[in-house]
Amino acid sequence: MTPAIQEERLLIAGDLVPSVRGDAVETVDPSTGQVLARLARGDRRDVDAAVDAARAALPAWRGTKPAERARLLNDISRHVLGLTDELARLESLDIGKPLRQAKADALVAARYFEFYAGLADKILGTTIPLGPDYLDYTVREPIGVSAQIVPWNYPLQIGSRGIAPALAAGCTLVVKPAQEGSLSLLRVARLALDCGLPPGVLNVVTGAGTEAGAALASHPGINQLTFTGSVDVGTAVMQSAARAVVPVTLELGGKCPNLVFPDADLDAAVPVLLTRSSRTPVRPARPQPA
Amino acid sequence: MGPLISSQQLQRVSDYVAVAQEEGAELVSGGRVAEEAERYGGFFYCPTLFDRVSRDSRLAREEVFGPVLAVLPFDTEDEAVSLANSAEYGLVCGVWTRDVSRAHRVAGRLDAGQVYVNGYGAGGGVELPFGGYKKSGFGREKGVEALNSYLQTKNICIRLG
Repeated sequence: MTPAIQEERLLIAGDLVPSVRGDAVETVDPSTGQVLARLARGDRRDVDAAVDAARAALPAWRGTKPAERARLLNDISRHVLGLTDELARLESLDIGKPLRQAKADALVAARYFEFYAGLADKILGTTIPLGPDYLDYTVREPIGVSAQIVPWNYPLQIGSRGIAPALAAGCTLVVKPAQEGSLSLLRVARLALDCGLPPGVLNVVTGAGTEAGAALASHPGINQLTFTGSVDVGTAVMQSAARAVVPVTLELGGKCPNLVFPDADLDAAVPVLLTRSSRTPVRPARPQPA
Repeated sequence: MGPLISSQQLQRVSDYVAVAQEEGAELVSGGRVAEEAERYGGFFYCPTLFDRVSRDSRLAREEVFGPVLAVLPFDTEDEAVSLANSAEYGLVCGVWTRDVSRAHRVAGRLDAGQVYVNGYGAGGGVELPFGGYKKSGFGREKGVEALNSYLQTKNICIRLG
């Protein structure tokens, strides 16, 4: 049932292009160990092109009326909703996630675009009273070009949760999905273009984390970086970004302890604890009521 | 339950299970590569449960990224909170109790960006600010708060007259 090996390209300035170096990195179907797709192997030069494209697209995008941005984000949301089955299947094959969970992720991805569509035209400032001689007010402006480094465990969900608010705020983006899970985000980016997202607003560079990812994190032309991954890589990414004084949003994982008290409803708790891997349930020493 | 993402991750999880046993945890179930791995050639590991895990063990302190559940016993609320807060991370916590006062009290004491009481995830949680305390990171994604990462505030002051 595995489809033929797909050849994927980078998405830069609205075009699907091969990487400068021309070769590919493979992504494997973890259920079989077989190669699923070949991704364009982006490096520093492709990241440069993507950041340039995002920079070039910024004035027009931030100048787009908020209501227009909202409309576009709603369109993207509706189309993601319409493509849920295909996106879920792609995600499931790419990272080995059970289809039911991948489908839930696709629905959440659609919800992200919907939620931030509703905020795009409600980014308000304040006025600050200083007496009759002054008019003082604040405006909240887009920070600029946002770089997003997305991990392999929830590509569709984590990718959408960073892309949607950045677009709503008027930012343009360069997204580097994990090598092990790039296919669903590439599909969403193409979908967004089809919805009318202007070329260059959303760019995707695939490849190895140590090449394209590192190049993106250290790029002096980005204005902000969102990273989800391990503490070790997050620290390195933060240090890279620090050199260009680029603010970062870091999600570095957790242990998710669950405190199960003697009066807990175990019928509710146990299924949740068992379906959450990497959790640390904490239970009372006293025996549970039968 | 699906496979792990790679053969390297499969090895990492196997190593963690071995370490947990060396550190004295009691293996209740699982603890081995699943037979699906042989059948399909993929990276499948059995859901694994350890009891009597100590707070100082690597299993309690580090993120395994595999289907391994560790159970740590406690006697008092203080001990439970202390155990939960002993990790260097602080992203999401769960509290399971029918006592509303205890739920509020404990939630207020946990070093985590999100606390769920008697549930988990709220059906996606797109509306809820999500992010870390301590080594789980900083900045908030999801919710209205996520916009803060993508905006900068300019103050404009006009002198009149």
